[in-house]
Amino acid sequence: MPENLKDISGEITVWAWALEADFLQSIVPEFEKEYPNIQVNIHKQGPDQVYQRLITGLAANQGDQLPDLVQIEETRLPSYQEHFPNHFTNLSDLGYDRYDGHFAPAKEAAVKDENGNFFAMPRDLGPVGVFYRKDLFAKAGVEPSSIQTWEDYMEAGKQVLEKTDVKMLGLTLNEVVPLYKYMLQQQGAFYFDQEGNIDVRSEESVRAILTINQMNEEGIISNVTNWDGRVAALKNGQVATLPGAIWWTGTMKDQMPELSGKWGAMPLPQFKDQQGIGANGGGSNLVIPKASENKAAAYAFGEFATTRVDLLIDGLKNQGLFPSLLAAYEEPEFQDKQEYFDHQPVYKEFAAIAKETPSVHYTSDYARANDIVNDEIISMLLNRKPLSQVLKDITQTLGPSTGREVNES
Amino acid sequence: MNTPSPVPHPENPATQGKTKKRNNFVSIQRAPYFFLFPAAVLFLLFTAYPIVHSFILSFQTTTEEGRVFVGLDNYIRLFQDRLFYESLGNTLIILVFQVPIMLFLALILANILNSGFIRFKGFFRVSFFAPAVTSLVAASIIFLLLLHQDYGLVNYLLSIAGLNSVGWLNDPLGAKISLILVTTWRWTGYNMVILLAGLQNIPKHLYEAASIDGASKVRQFFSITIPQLKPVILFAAVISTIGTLQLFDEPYTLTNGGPIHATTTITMYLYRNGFEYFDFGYGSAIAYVVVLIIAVLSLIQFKWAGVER
Repeated sequence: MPENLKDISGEITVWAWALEADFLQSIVPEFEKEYPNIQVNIHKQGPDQVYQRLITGLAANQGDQLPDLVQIEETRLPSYQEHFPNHFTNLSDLGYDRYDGHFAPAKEAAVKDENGNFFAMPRDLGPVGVFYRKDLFAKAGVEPSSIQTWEDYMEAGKQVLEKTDVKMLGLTLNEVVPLYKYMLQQQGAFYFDQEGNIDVRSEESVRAILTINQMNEEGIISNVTNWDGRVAALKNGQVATLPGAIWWTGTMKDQMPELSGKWGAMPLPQFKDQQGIGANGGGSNLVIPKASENKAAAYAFGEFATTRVDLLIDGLKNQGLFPSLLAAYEEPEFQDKQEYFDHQPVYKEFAAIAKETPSVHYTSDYARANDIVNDEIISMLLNRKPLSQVLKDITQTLGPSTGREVNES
Repeated sequence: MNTPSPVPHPENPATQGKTKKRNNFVSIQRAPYFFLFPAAVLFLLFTAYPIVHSFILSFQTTTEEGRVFVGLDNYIRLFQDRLFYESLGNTLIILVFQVPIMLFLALILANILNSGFIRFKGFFRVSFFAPAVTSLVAASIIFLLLLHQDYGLVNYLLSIAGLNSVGWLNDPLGAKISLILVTTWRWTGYNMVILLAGLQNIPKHLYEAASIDGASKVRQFFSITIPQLKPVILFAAVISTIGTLQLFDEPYTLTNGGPIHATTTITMYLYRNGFEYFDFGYGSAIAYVVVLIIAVLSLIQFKWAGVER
């Protein structure tokens, strides 16, 4: 890397989608002030488009088919890493090592390879908590602070249902049930263990599945089918809580401003006699393909976008992108008491969750595992498939198709 | 490039010779090949090459050392894969119900539009054909609204009629039925137009002779229309079968394969393996099994319809 910033020159192309693309676009003028000889072109496209063009680009491995910097979610990083080995730039070699330990631990683990080298620059993440309707809880006589465990949550759900005829939570049974994934992660478990073996028979996993199943049997789950249905259920007051990631606050403020002041937030309930409240839903990173001919310029822009606290705070305020850089959590904006959440400092509380979230081993088979696991959990909820059959079907499908070992319980 | 290149000049004898030669090269006899050339190149590049390459891919898998040949492993895995059978089963269920219903409807519509007593034929033809050229993404948004369990028009009408609401998209069986309905909506008009063209080629004198002999309209339909139309019906049946076996857009936009894999067709499963799980070898193996199934089913249909070579 050249010492003088003005010495780095070139034109770089960046692929990103949605709010991340907007954020990157918004910092370009500031960046070009500091690096006058670099020109940044942000190509905003849909996530499917980014991922598919990236596959073909990496398969061809031609610089002109690939961007110099590209957004990738951490859930997808390992599959790109495994199927296109050695196609991404080692960022530690370019100096990113100096940010070692500067990010939320789970995030940092997800962007390093097995040798501890950075190969992606961490952007946003989505710490998970439970959003709840204070007015409905009050009506049902539920004290939010009494909810410490999932058992408490279930009891509260029964009470809310009885007193207000409102279900406790909505699950999108036409799509996926990320709640299971969150329950695994908060216990430090996942679909796979750290060796990459299939780990759905673990006691953490069985505990999580049984808890969701019991909620269903108690009748406190509403099937809200899909994203739109879930938003509608929140807006219409058909569900009292939402176990979800911090980025839901953006959707809530945007689509249901009339509910301002009625919402509260708390960490995920724990499992009885178990520790752990941290889980993550969503988040992406910036990667430099090896075929890029402007790695220095791409690195400069990526570093700028991931480590400048003032810009990250702007991104949080304008795009709702929750930063993973720990230094950002100390800023005054994070301490703000938010009116929408009845003057609760939600960002600060979710930053604490982000710091506590255990890292998980997504593996290159995350997408397949996620599809199969969700289908089986939904089979249990819709068709009353028994637990033993659910576990058997997951392992017998996932095992042969991934070639991974299955851990016995 | 700074080196001067020889500039062709009309007075330059060498160039003139070349022009003459080229004239010999381009002859009337050869002209068709020149016209065919671009199409042939595109065919080789974008059709033949992928076919051959995916065949090779179907015997490979990706490891840390790159792609390696694994023999028949992908195919063996395929025959032990529950989700493959489920996807294939979904596709065949849709095929068995959807294609006959659609062809029957198309045949009836084509006959009505071919009969003398209907007015505004052009309008009806266009209306029935329109779904085939409508953007499916736009149409599926409308269907999502119509079929919504709580707010959809279809369940509203059912409730007026005193019937229970149906989980058109939320229930595994309901989603299959919805998919069959939407596919039928989309492709009936297309088949109708094909059948209509066939109907118009049946000589009128056959019907006149039958009328004189006292055959009823129904009898005429079964004894003249159906036999005369047989090759066209077969054609429609074969392309509809192939189309259904390759069904992708409708489940992708309407249900995304769910709930619980109930509407994941074989091509959707192929797509997932290739583009979501990066398992290109396995995806290619699925593609070749689909090709085999299509070939066998088409052969059966030809035999069954008794079409001579």
